[in-house]
Amino acid sequence: MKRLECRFESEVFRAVFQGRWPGRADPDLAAHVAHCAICSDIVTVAGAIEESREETAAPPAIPNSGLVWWMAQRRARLEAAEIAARPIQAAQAIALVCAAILFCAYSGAVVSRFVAALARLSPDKGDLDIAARLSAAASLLAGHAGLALAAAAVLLLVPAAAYLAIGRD
Amino acid sequence: MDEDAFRAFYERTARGVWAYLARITSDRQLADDLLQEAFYRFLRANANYETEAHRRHSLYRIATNLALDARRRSIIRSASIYGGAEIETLPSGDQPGAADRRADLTRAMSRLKPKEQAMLWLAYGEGASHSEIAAVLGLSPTSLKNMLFRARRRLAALLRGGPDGSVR
Repeated sequence: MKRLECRFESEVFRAVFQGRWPGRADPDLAAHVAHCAICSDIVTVAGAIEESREETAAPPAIPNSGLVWWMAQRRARLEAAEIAARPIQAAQAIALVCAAILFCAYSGAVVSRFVAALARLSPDKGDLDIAARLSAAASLLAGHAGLALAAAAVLLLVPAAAYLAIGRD
Repeated sequence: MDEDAFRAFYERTARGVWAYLARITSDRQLADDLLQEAFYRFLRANANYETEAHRRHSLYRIATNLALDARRRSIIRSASIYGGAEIETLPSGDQPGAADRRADLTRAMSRLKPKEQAMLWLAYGEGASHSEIAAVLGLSPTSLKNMLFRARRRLAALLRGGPDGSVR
């Protein structure tokens, strides 16, 4: 069975890691490494990596710890705000759709009555005098003021609601 | 973790994590980005760690996953941190300088799998124990021993100028 470990490998690695290899290493250990394939590999690999550490130990610019902390806190706040806003945005969108459906249903019912009332004021109805026409017009406006107000409100509020729901991103 | 504790932990670990990321991604720019991302995710996890060692393992595990994900997404530029591309064996009898030897290591490392690079760097760059490396890489200690043996054997062969780094 192939050997995967050597009992001296930790010692060999420490010697390399601490810069004692090969000059200040124990001669017995050096003699062992000369005959042990595992420890010889460790010396080769750990030595190369140790030398490489000098290069990578001096990165061009590690950000300041305070800056990293501040950026992390800021990002966490932004993410939290985004997550918190999701249900509100969803509720706003649902409310908008509900309002549009209600408006369509209401206006559909009212407009048909409005059109019928308007037909009664048409000039071909020769049997009505001016006073009766004005009276009919006034009652028509009074009877459908809700529709007019609702139409005006929707025209003003829908763009504002749409902006609040989706425009701020 | 409060700000003071984080800053102290960052000062102790950032350079090592950056070196680890630079080594396993072979990309300094990417290492810069991943370093900040790793610390951000570490903070966001907001876990309680029993010891400093556990805290370090968690940070290295996050860094490892980020680096491996980045490799999988193939966003790593092909150029290495030393600009090396292909493995070349140094001419025999040459006395390479330190920069050449580092370039040799980079080229040899690039022939290994990302996990092999990570385990070798953790073992011989960071001095992590087998159980620590297994925890960071999500491997069983038994598998790790075997994989580390093979990776080390292959890297040593490549560094000695073997043709393909195959285990002999």
